Amino acid sequence: MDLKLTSIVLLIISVLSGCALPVHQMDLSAPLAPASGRPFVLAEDVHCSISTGYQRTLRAGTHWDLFGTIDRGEVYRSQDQLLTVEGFNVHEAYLVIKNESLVGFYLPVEKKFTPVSKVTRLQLTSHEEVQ
Amino acid sequence: MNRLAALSVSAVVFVMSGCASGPGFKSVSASFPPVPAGSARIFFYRNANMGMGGAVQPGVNLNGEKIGNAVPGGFFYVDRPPGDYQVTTTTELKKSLTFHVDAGQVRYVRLGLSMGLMVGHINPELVEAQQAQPEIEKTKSPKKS
Repeated sequence: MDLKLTSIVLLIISVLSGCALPVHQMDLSAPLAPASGRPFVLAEDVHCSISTGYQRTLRAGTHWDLFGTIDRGEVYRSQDQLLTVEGFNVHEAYLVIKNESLVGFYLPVEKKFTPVSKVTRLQLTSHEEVQ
Repeated sequence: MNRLAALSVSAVVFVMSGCASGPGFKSVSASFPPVPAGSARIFFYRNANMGMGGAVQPGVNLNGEKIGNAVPGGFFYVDRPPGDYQVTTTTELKKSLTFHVDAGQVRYVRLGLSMGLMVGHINPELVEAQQAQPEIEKTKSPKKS
């Protein structure tokens, strides 16, 4: 590869690396209602992504606890797996589950919702079944 | 020493001069006070990356307050009340990290280097403890000035 082409490739990479899309944040119709109970364990890895193209894997065997409910579904967080979603900025995120499917993420600082690119059915196991 | 060797040594010295040079994390971590009751501890660290981007050492802000600098191979921590936090750095590209901390929680923020159009950028990332521990153990306190 000659110097000119190398320079162009590096320029494109540099520009692209600074131009990630922001995470699409949707307002909630009502604030999160705190809740607890109904913990579950993920039975298998789950691969998910959001509109920015950012991908994450939810690990099999991680325990998730109900944190609250929003209009989009139930919000779960885990002590076993730290979850963030990323676009131009990085945001801590909790799972939003509806009818045993991952529909998106709750951003606890922004108090907003961001949807997953594709709703994904989860294989859930209760704590009791694991123990 | 020929000219090329002299230039190489100068380059290495220049790159490494920007690295943290205080006591290592492992040697001082036992002396850290416990997390104050009702507070959370947030560690910030930057891998040495072979001295890459040593000239890029932006300030690190937590909810708008400057709490340190992103020194290559360096770490520092702050204790804060539980709540919502935003980390930003003072590079030309203002990427932020937002997260929540509970009382008693220990969080790790890695200050990663990425190359920009003109200069490098520092991107804060929230890292799990099991991933952060082996990385932060290789870092040092920033040199006292």
